[in-house]
Amino acid sequence: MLVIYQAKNSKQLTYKTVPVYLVGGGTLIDPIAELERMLELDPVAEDMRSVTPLFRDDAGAAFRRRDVSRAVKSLMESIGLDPGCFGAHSLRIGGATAALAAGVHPSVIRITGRWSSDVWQIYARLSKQSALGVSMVIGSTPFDDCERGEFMSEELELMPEEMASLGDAHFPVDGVESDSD
Amino acid sequence: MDGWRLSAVVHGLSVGRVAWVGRGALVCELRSPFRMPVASSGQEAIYRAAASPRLQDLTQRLLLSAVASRDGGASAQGVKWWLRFNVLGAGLSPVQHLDSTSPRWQKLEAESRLMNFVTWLVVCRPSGRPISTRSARKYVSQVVTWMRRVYSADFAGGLDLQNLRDLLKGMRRELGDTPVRRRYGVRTQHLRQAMDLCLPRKCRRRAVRSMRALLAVAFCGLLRGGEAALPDGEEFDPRKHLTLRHTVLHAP
Repeated sequence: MLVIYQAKNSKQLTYKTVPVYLVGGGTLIDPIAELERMLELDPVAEDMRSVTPLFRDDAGAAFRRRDVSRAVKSLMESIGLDPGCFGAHSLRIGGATAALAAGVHPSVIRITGRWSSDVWQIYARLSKQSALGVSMVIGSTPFDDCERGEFMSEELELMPEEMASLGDAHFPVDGVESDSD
Repeated sequence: MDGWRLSAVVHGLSVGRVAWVGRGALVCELRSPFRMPVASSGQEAIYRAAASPRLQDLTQRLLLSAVASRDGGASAQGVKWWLRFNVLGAGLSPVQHLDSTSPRWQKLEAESRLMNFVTWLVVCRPSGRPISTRSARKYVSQVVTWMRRVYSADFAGGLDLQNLRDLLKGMRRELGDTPVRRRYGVRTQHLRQAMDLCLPRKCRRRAVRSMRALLAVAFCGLLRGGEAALPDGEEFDPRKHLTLRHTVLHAP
């Protein structure tokens, strides 16, 4: 478990700490194994633990945010991706996307990511796994709906260019259903 | 009783029908007759505090705490640029004490300076990075709010700032908005592949192992850059930033 003091909203919630629970065993990324390896190589005396940065460079100074950003850019460049599209925040975006792809409930993603609003939706992006999972679930789920609402007309209207592309095709007049419906 | 009578006279109402008026709106009205309140024993200090200058200070401090930075917005980026634009650039005071009775030419001059500020921000790029019209608009809003909150002064004496609005509109049409920066998420498999390539697991350098751990923790813990590492511009403070003490490892 990791306890974070410097959360983004700590200005409003002074002295609020945020626990981050991490579990090992990830087949691709295992934060616990990485932490253990780091501590094994670089043991710190018990009385110095409270003043030693958790993540530090060769000189013992804490990594800065820009170091993380540079590292992410450099790593992505090394595998042929455009470094300009990545930064420190890419880790958070990627983590949220992976969680959504794995079927983690959105409310759990929001809480674990410490988002106080629905802004997490910007972070969690659609992945092939999510999309395939959705279509599979849709195709496997019979249901009995108990509500029959009406669409708002705007939702069914075609865009002007779509209208134009259909030429002289017959369209139902407002309030009158066409035969094909 | 004198105080109450005086209060009634100030509000132009007869004694026995005292009203409290807040910002022009009638808030509460007492029906006559009323009895003069008397403080019970032991409560004198509480009522003495009502006239204390410390109460005024506290009220001011709480007002400034309306924004998270607790300085009334003085540390907002827009206000910082406004101070630099005026003090370092134009050589003028960044604070204007105009009210609705000020001459119109002074109000127009104040608006004109704000318009120049916006143009300066977007065209001269003082930060070295492009500032979009959208951001410039937010900065203007920060300046106006800061001046109202800290100096109780409506910017340009309450002028509707129509020219400024038109400037922003024209700016958007002429210069366009800066494209939003693309930011992709790191894919799990890519992170693993790149870490193994650039930060080999067998490497014994502290920085390499530490960065591997940081990336893994930040990715799986959905950490922001400034949570996993030291925010830019801050000095390490063990009370605020992550230390080894903040990790607790439990056996499964």
